[in-house]
Amino acid sequence: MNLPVEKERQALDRQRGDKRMSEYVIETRQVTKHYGRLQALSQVDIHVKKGSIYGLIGDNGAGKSTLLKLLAGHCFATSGEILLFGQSGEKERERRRRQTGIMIEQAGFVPGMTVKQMLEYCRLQRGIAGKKKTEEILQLTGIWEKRKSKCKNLSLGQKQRLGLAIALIGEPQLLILDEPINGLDPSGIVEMRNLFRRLNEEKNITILLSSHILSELQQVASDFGFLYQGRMLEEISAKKILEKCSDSLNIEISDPERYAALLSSCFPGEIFRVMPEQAIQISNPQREAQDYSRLAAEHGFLIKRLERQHGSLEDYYMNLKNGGTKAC
Amino acid sequence: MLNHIKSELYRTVCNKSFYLITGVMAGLVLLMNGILWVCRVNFGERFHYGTTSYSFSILVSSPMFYCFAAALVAQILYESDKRTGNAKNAVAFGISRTKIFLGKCIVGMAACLIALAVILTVYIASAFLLLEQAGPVGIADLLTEVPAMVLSAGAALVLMIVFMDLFEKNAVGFVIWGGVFFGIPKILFYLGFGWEIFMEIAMWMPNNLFVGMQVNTMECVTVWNSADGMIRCLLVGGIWMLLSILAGLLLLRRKEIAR
Repeated sequence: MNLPVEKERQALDRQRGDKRMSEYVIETRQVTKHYGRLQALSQVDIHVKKGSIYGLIGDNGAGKSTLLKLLAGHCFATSGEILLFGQSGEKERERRRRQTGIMIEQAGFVPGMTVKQMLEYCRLQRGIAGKKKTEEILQLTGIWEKRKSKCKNLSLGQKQRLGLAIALIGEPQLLILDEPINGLDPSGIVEMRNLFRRLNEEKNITILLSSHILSELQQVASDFGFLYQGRMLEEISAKKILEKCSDSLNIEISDPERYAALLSSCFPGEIFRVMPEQAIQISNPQREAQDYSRLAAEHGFLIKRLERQHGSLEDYYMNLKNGGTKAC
Repeated sequence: MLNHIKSELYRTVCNKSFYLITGVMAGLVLLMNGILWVCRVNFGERFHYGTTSYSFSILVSSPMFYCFAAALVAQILYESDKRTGNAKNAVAFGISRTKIFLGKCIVGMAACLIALAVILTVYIASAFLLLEQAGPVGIADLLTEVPAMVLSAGAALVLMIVFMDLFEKNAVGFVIWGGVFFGIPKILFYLGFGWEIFMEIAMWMPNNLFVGMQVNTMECVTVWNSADGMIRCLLVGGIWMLLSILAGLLLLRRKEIAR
């Protein structure tokens, strides 16, 4: 065997592998975590693509915070592999965390410090040059007015904003946020949602966030992971969920096959399917319900029931959790 | 690591409790000397304790106070870390637990030395200004006590940091610290009356090192008066410092952060 050629081939294989791996900013492989006898996570695989907003969904005690703590380095996996920016070794992951902003559960702070001092402390800790950075981030996260208040005196929502500000120090490439909108008022939630979108679109920051508020996640996330009792049930893109959980109109009708043919000719572009129970299901209907009933009436069809159904992430998750089919 | 140390120094500078405790301690020594002066003025020759010797003897006869004070500084600087979740920020920033621990030790030592400088300055200045300069205990005994105790105090600080990080509740850490620094040495000392080997081990512990000292109104015989004694103090302190740091590096390397 020609050694130099073999070495070159191995280097090329490594490069290809690295390229595949670098597609994912976060990847876990069969990660398990035990706390004594309690199994918090069981063989969890998660894949967070670069530039995506990944929503981690699960009930209380599902293991979301545990998974995020493993990524943050707060605890150690019992078994399995964790990769951050394609790096799996502990020291490499530590280095990569310097490009990551993390907020797990509540924000950590020094109680006697003011908000501005706390951010300054974090800025120094991260070795970020320029005091102006602190001011920029305070304004970005909406706690500039509270900059002279002591951290211990902040409300829950303000502490969340502080936590986000701490995570954003150093212009991270990746944000890992555990329940970031917890405690925020409605306008705060909207602000935060818009901020996540902006950070993702303008700065290409990858965001992994967990939340109980599925409707909020549905508005920002491009990918989802469903955790249940420490296991990853499914990872799916928002696009696929939309296809599976779109709004639909269910029409129970006298002759569904003929009506289907009529729909194709009169309303082209509509997506529908004939159901077994003498019904037609129209996905993402482009017209009002009365348009379909008028069409049926004009051509002598008898409509027995007309029902609009709204698919949601919540329905998808509940269905998945209950071991149902992977559709709404 | 330099960034982490800078940030911890900044945190210490922003810590009002640290200034308060230093101020209170300085105020207490000033008050003590003040009371001695008042008594000296009021009772004249009948009051034998209005001297710098008596004032200095209070600290010279209690060298373990430096260890206790160092542990107190550690509590003041770092007691809130677990309670408010600040500990997790540094780890999340990619700073290793080893560096976090060493950074705390370095900054803690610096804070101790600054507080000591302030308190000693007030102590000595007020003694010289208010009291009669007489008696066996001199300023040299007080000032040489500092290098004799600095490493033992450093060990006390490091060990307190270790136990605070190791145990969920700071109070538990404090009790364990007390047991290790005071309890175990005393137990070994008493066992040493029956078995020589325990006495030999006991005499390598800071708390037992100063057992034979004579510091009173008649004489001042400290361990660090002689070169051998000073070397022993430095050796004992150095060994304990090393063991404390090793304990921290081993026990905290993979300590999980609960909150």
